[in-house]
Order: sequence, then structure tokens, then C-alpha cells
Amino acid sequence: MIMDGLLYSEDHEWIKVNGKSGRLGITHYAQEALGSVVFIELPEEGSRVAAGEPLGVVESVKAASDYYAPVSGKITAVNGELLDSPGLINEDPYGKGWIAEIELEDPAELDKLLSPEKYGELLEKEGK
Amino acid sequence: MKWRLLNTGYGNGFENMAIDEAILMVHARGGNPPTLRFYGWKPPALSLGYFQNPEETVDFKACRRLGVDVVRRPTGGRAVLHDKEVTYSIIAREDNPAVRGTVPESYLRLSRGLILGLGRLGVEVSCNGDGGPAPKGPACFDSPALYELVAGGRKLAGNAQARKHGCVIQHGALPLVNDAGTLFAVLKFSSEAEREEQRRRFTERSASLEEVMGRRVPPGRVIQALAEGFAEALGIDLEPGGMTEEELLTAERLVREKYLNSCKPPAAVTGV
Repeated sequence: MIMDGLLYSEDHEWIKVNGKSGRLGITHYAQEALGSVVFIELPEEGSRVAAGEPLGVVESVKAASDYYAPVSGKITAVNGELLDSPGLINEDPYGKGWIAEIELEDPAELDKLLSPEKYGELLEKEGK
Repeated sequence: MKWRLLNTGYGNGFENMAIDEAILMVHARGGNPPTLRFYGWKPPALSLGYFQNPEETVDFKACRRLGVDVVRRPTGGRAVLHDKEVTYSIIAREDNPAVRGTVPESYLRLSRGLILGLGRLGVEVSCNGDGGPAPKGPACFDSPALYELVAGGRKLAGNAQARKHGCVIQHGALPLVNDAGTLFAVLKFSSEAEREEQRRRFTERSASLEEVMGRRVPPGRVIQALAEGFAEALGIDLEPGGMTEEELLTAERLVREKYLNSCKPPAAVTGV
């Protein structure tokens, strides 16, 4: 499932941009590939992250997987509800399973992300 | 496809985890081939899953008394006591045919290597296809998770995965001898009755190779059988090799900067 109105990274993260900030999470495909998420390590509020660098770790059925920042910027909010209910990532990856909000450092980086159509093509190409 | 077969022999827990991560980091940069590694543990070590809380899980005083190191794994899952066992790790890029796909898909594929390898030792194992509810206790081997190896209804091999830097690492432990006594002495429980109950449950549900085979098998024989099993299951050529200079230096740095302090005892235990 791919949502319209979002941009996607090749590492299977999404971002919904609103002006100079954005809300991000992992995609439906990513949560399906991981299986039931049992823990999540969130980025620190106020920390600065660079595009493509690890933002935190999610643990599913015995796999601890990095997830990555789709763009560079400052983390302005994290979804603390996930600490108690990490399963929200599986149930609603584009909604209640959001992970963090970020203040964009360089809006030009958004051009490197994939549209919903391009992300669909990527999944298809990779046989996913 | 050519893979490296690496046997690093015995190491302490910090070195063992650092070497796995160093191989992964160098592999992510294209500096080494995909690798199947075997290793052993001296002294024994308790490894915790990435998200386990050491203060809640580990009795550090007991660890010190029994000479057991404590280290955090880069992978998920729960606590494992590593002593007399054969441990393997598989490190490859996410797009490598051996590990590609979802977490369960790659688990299943790699499990076939273990099944074929154990078959060469005359051990019949099956692959647990139903993960069931999430495990609750602190010890890893007390219940078989999805696609883990079960012999006679008891869990024989425990596996865990991490996905970092565009690569997959899966490592797994095959206990040669059962040592539930030490494992349950170094874990924390709410009461002695709870400790005894969990130990009993663990002993019922987990097995060592010695128990399954009725005799002890030298680690070298197990390693050879598992290597052959992985080669057949994954369709890979294994070429024996050593660690590169870059891997050794990265591992040394990771021991110092990460793993030595990955599961620090509370100040009351160290006397600091």
C-alpha cells in the first residue's frame, strides 16, 4: 500500500511535508517486511540528523533493523506513543505509526525522494 | 557466488560482537566478500538483545562471581549464555540472494542451511513455522520463535538478525552442552520460585547438541557440517580466509568505543 501525498526514500521511509517541516515514518512495505514490531528506539528530540543516516532502530521478530532519515534536519517531535504501543507501526504505518517530525534543513533534498508512482515502480522492480 | 569462510576461534564476548559488526561495516563499503563466520566464546558471556535492559535482566554480581562477561548484541531477541557452543554469523548485503527479502523469508532460507548441516551430523530438525505469541521470559531459548530449529519438540538453535548500513547480519548459537544452571544464575527474577519455574520450563523446551545426539561432538566437526549445509542451501562457494587489516582495526575500535561499555553493571556492583 502506497499513500498519495507523501514522498518516499529508497530505504522505505516516508515523509509528509508541510511547509518547512515534515512528519516521517516507515512504509507499509517496510513494516510488512519486518513483521510484528516489538520495540522502537526513537531519535532524540532536538538532535540533528543527516539524510540517509540511521535515525533509530526497530525490533521485529528477532531482527533489529536501522531506519534512516529521508532528509537532513532537526528532530522537533517524536511519537512517544510508540514506546508503549510499537504495534501501531504495523497497524497504521502512515497514520498513528508516525515516528518523528523534522525541520527541513535543505528543502532541495526533497527532489531526491521518490513520488508515490516512483516508489511503486521501485517495489515492483525489486519484486516486492 | 564466492563467499569467505572465516573461523576466528575463541574470543571474549566484546571481541566477538565487535568482529561481527566490523565485518558488516567493511562489507557495506565493499571492502570484503560476503562472509560465513564461526566462533567460540572464552570466557563465557551472556549476550543481551539490542533492546533488553541490563539492569532489569542481569544479576551482575552473579556474573562476576561466575566469570561471565555481559555484552549487548547488535541483533534483536533475548538473553543467551554463550559457553560451550558453536556460533555462526552470516553477513551479506541486503540484495544478496542468500539474505534478500523480508525478515521471515531470509530466516527461512538461512534455516535451511542449518537443517542441512545438522542433517550431516545425523540430527533431524524441523523448522518451527508458527511463531505463536511473543515470548515473555528473559531467556532466549525458552521458546522457539518463527523458523527456529526444533529437535524432538525442543529448541536447538537460536538465531537473531540485524539490518544496518544496507546489510544483513544473522548470527545464531548451537549449544553443544546444556548449561541452564549458569544461565538462570546470572539472570534476574522476581523470586527464587520464579527462577526455578523459568529454569524448569527452559530445560523442558530447549536442547543441546549433546542431548539430541547422545554424545559430545567436537566443535570442528559441527563447524564443517554447518559450513557444508549453508553452502548447499544457499548455492555458494566458501573459500577459507582471514580477517582483513581494516576489519581488525575496526573491530579493535568497536571493542573500545562500543562493546566494552555496551552493558555496564550499575555502580553498586562495580564499587565505583
